[in-house]
Formats: sequence, structure tokens, C-alpha cells
Amino acid sequence: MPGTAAPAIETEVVEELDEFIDLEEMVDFDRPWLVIVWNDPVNLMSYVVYVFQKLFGYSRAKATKLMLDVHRKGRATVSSGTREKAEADASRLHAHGLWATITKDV
Amino acid sequence: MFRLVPFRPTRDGKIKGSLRPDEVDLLKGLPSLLRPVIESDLDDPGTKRLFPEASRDDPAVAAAFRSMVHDDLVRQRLGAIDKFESTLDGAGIRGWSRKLEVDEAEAWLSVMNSARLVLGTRLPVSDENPLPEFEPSDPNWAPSLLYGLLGELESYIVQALSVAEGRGVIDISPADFDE
Repeated sequence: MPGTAAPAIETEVVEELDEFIDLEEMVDFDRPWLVIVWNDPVNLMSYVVYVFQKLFGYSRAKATKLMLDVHRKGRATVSSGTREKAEADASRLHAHGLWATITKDV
Repeated sequence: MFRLVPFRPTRDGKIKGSLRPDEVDLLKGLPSLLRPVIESDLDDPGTKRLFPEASRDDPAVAAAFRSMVHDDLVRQRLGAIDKFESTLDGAGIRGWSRKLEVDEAEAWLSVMNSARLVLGTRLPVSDENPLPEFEPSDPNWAPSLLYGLLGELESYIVQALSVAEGRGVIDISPADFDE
């Protein structure tokens, strides 16, 4: 570290934190995007299970659990990945009449 | 003769459809119900439901998604309607019966599901009122019957497709609902 005087402990910590935050922003693109499916009153349960299995290759058990999560909790995260993948997944879900949104993971 | 199951998987991996004349008559109306909604410019609740926002909190993300995806989605949906129309022909006084390829059955599923979504915005359907009932004097009487029929037909075609596509029957058991 530059300077002849030894830095106070607080300054050392703050400088290290600044470096950490800059690194975080540099690797921002690594944080995944999430695809969320929202509950709706029209789509049949069997249909939603069918769509999750067909689009994502999920097992019957996983597709059913996700469907029930959407049904009970109002929403569920069904996939994640790069923004491009999230957009592609969401557009396929929209094509099947499900309401999907994409959001950056926190 | 008992009423045939509307859609069932066949041994050769296809889907056999059998519909009554009154069902055929109702289904014949689906293209003209859907095409205007699909081709409209988002003022209609039905259109908004078929082309929903892809972000609830970031308008830029939603706008980017829409510009990327909208036209393709319109093409896909109109293509499904064309395929549905071409395979629904040939109905007679005894109804309609045909062996559908998987891609044709998927087009049927798309059309029936889209119609349910659009009707759902008009009745309207909500969690509090998932199966709205109307008096015959209400303009929503016939649409609500169509909505109910489409739900029934869709549940059969979903099962048939799941089997034809090699994933077996979808049975959601009471145990699934245990917390």
C-alpha cells in the first residue's frame, strides 16, 4: 500500500471493501437470471405439469412440485441461467400460455 | 354406444380424436375468436394475456423481451390455428374423427389453451371464481359453456400427448396436496 504512514485499521478495511465491490461489478454477468412462473386461474394443473416436463425435461415429481408451488405460493422459479437462456425459456413458456417473468438473481 | 374419449393415444404414437357434431361446431369458431386477438395491438385484455410482460419491475427488460419475441410468438400462434383448421375439416353429421400427428395435436392444444386464456379475461375467470356461471339471458352464457368444454377437451388431449410423447399419464394424486 502507498504512503509512509501505516494506515488506520478502519481505512484498511474500507479500502479492501472497495476493491471487493469493484470485483463484484466486474463479474456481474456471472449472476444468473431467474425465470419465474406466476399463478393464473385458467391453466389446468395437468397442463402446467405437461409444459414443465416438455420444455425443461423435468421428472413428473419435480414438475408436479413446481406446479404446486406456483399454485400455493403464487409463483415459483422454474429455471435459471444467462439472460439469453432466461429470455428463451420465458418465450417458450409464453408460447404455451404460462405467465413467466425474468429477473436477475440477488 | 358410449361416448368416446375425445382424445386418446394410439399404439403407433399418435392421437386419435373423436368429437360430437356440436363440439365440432363450437371448435370451428375458435379461429375467428383468436385471430383478431393475436393480431391486435395490445389494447385488448385477451391480447395482453397472450403476450404478457416478461418483467414486473423493469420496463426496459420487458420492452427488450417484447421486441425480440412478439412477432415470432404471433407467427407461432397463427401457424397453430392454421394447422388446427386444416385438421378439423371433414366433419359430418356423426361428428369428427381423425388420427392426429403429435405436431397436429400440439397445435390443437395451443388453440384450445389460447382460447381458454382469452375467454378467461372476458368472463372473467379468477381464483375466487374459477368456473363462473351465468343465466342463459346473460351474454356470457355461451362463452362460459365454451370455456367449460375447452377445459374438458384440453384435459384429455394433454394426457394423450403426454403418453404419445413418452412421458406417460399425468396423475396428480391427493398425496401431492399434503403439505
